Amino acid sequence: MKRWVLCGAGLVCAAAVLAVGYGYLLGKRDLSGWRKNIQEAPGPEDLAKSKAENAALKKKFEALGPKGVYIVVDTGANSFYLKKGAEIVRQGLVSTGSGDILPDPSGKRQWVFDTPRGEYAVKSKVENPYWVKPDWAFIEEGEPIPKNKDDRVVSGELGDYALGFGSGYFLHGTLYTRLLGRNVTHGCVRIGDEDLKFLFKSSSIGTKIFIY
Amino acid sequence: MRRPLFLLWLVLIGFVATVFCAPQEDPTSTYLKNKFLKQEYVLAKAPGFYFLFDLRNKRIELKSKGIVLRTWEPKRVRFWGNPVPFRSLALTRKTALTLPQRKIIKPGDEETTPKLQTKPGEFELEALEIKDMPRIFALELEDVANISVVGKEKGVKKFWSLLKWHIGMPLKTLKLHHKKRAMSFIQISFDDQKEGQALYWALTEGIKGLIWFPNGKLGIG
Repeated sequence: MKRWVLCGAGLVCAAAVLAVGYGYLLGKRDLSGWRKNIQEAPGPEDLAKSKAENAALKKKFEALGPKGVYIVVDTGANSFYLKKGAEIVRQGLVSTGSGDILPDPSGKRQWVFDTPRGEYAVKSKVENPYWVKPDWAFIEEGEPIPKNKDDRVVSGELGDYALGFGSGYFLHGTLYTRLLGRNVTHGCVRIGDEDLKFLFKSSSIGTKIFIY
Repeated sequence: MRRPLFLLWLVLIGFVATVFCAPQEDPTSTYLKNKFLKQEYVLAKAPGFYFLFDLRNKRIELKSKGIVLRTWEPKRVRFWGNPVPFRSLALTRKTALTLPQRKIIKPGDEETTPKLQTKPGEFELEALEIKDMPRIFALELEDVANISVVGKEKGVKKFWSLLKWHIGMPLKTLKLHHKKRAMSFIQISFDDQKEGQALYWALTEGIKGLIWFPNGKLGIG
C-alpha cells in the first residue's frame, strides 16, 4: 500500500515538473515574440517617412498642450502645481474630496464627496466669495433644509478668492489650514491663503486645470 | 617643427573620432518611435488622461494632452507571456484582495464627520485616503495584459514571490495555450510602496494607455 502511495506521489511530482517545464518552454517561445515584435526592420523609405512624421507629430503635440500656465491637482498627495510647460512655477498643499458617501435620510438621493478628476478650465474668478450652502451641508449636520435662500448664504468660509471650474466646484481658500494635505472636503479644492492669492493672480478665465 | 605636427595629428584623430563615434541613428528605433507617437497622439487628442508604460526604462507616466502629470519609476519590472499588442489598451478592472471602502456619513453624527479641531497626523480621518489604497493589486487591460503590483519583498517573501513567478507563470502559459488565448503578464514593484498606492489611486478604470518596449534586448525578467 505504502509503495503505491509513494509511486502515485512520485508520478504526480513528475507530472508537475513536466508541466512546469513544458509551460516554461512555451513561455520562452512566447517571449521571443516580444523580440520579433520590435525588430520590424524598416526600409530606407520608411525611415525617411518616419523621420518627417516624427518632426510633424512633435509640433502637433506642442499645439495640443496648454498655452501659458496651467494648474495640476494631485488628489492623492493633496498637492497642487502651477506649471508653465514642464517648469513648476509654484507648488503647495491642498485639501481635496474625502470620498465619503452621505445618504439623504429620505433615501431618494446620496452624495459622494469626491473631487472630480479630469481636464477642466477656470470658468469664473471671484473675490471675497460667499458660500451658498447646498442641501447636503444641512443634512450632514442634521439640520433642517432652509426654504429661504438667504439662510443658506455663509461668508468668509471660502477665503479671499475662488476659481470656479464648473458644476459648483471651486478652488478656494480655507479656515482649516491645518487640514491642508488631507482628504477632507466635499469635492472642492481648498488651498492656503498665500498659494490661493498667487494662483488667482496668475490664472485667467480659460486656464487649464488637470485634476487626477 | 615637432609641435605643429603633433597638433596636426591631434586634429586628425579628433576628426576621425567625431566621424566614427558620432551617435548613429538607429533606424528601428526611429521607426518604432514613429509608430508609438502616432498611437500616443490618438490618445492625447481625446479628452481625459492616458498612461504610458515604458517597460525598458521602467517608467509609467500619467499624461493628458501630451503633458506629463505624474511619473512612477518601479524598481523592478518582470514580464512573461505573449508580447503586449502595440495599440492603446483600456484598464478594464483593478483587482485587489481588499478593496478600499468608502465611509458612509450618518447625518448629524459627530463620529462620522471629519474631526476638524486637531492637528493632522494626530487623528484618523473618516475619509478615503491614499494610505487606504491596496499595496498589492492587479490591473487588467482588456483581457490581453495583466499588470500586477507587488509589495516590497525581502527574505522569505521574496523567495515565495520568485517561486510563484517561475512556477506560476509557466503553468499559466500552459493553461492559456490550452485555451488558445494570448496574454501578457507584467509584474512591477516599487521601493516605496506608497508609489504603488498612488498608482492605484491615479489609474481609474476605463483609462486608456500604451505599453511599449523601446528597441532593446528582452529577457525573462
